[in-house]
Amino acid sequence: MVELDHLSYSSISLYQTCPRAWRYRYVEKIPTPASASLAFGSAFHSAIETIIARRAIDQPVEPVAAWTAAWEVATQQEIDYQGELPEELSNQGLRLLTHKDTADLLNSIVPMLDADGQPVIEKRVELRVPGVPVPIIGYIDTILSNGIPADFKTSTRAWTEDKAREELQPAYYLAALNQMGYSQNPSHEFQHFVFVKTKVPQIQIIPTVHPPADWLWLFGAVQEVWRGIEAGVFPPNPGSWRCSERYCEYWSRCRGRP
Amino acid sequence: MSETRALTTRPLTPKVWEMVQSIAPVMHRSRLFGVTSPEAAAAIMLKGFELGLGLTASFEFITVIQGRPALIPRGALALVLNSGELVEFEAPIERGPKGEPLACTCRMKRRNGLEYTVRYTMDDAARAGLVKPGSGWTTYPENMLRWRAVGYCMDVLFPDITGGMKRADEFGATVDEEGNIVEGTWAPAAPAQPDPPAAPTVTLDDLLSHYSPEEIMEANDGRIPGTNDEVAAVAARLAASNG
Repeated sequence: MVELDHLSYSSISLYQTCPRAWRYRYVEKIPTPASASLAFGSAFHSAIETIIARRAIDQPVEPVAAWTAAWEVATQQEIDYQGELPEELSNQGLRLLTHKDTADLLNSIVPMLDADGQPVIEKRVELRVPGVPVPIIGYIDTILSNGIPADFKTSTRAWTEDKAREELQPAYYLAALNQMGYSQNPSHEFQHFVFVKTKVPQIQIIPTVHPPADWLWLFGAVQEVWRGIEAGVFPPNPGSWRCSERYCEYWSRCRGRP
Repeated sequence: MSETRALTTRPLTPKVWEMVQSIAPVMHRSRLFGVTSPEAAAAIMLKGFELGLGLTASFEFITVIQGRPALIPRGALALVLNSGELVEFEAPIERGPKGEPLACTCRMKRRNGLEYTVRYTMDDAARAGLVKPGSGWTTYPENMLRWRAVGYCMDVLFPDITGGMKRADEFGATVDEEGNIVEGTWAPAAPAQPDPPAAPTVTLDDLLSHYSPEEIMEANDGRIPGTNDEVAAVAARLAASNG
């Protein structure tokens, strides 16, 4: 049995997509380079959070400076660009971040301020699930001034409302906030901000509602994942979108092994 | 509204604690009830107090086996009967061709309609390594079968009444016809093995089959339960308020 002190949304999501990939990452701890899209998403995420946080405390930062710094940090790690050029990615990030719609959106986002007057950004939450001995740890991108938690995503294509509704991440966050005694979001709303990396960037704001029934369904799913991990059940999932040379960083060790 | 008490939530006040501390050495010195130290006597009284028993009555129903307080089977049943929650109960013994006891099927029903049945067989006991020469399973197999089935049934249906405590028979104690333990005959059921994590007696799925998510949260101060203990406490509160 692998020793874990916590799980995360992405860890559980990986187990659900491919238990064998989970084993490679969390049991065997095989180091892999970050994908270009992960590095891009992480840099973009960091840049918009910086812009929002700095504006909230009256110390605004220019989007170009925020992006440049965030991209610099993101590219410190080893990245598998898979044919993409770093410069093109950097320009794409700049284009997306400086687009008028993005600027308008970022200007309209007002984060909640905590007791110290600091904007609530990357709020750490812990979810406890009965029968699962470790917490599920997560970080909520921001909690808006109206009490609704929100998440920033970059995507190559536009989201549908169904996709937003089916996302499990909000249920983790809302359940965790509930367990922490958070009561400023009684209708269990969540806000997705999606930045679509099309040639002409699109910005989507998709509000969703995730009631307690969703959380309890999630609890059952997490319990199943935990039982699988505990029992050492790590089968490959060749039917998943991930099971391809393009998307799986463990392809050469698994299905693509010569 | 049911009058069932949530027995494990009885508050321990400084006055009660003072009484426990003063009685414990006396009970130890009296050599009654076989308590081995003042600390064991105090633990028995505290556990009994939590369950709604009087301080000295606790010694009738609770014993310490392998360093842990355990309910004697008669005590567990007494608590359940006293709660008024048990409305139907049967535990017939199945016998083989020579009249030998083979199994006991215990069925219990709570006042709120929850019902549970446990069948425990000699084969189950053998598989668990309990049937050994000279043990209660060879000398009093009928008693052992009956109290094991009754005990497991109570574990599932009345965790709020028994406070989730283990029973002496689960530790390998021999049980007589009345559900008392036979002094000095028990042995650890699995001495070399650490206890596995206790399986929850009530799961979230169980709760969801009877109550809505909103009802579950309301019974937990508006929060979704995050541990098995919270689930058990919610089950007890809901059962009490719907009884």
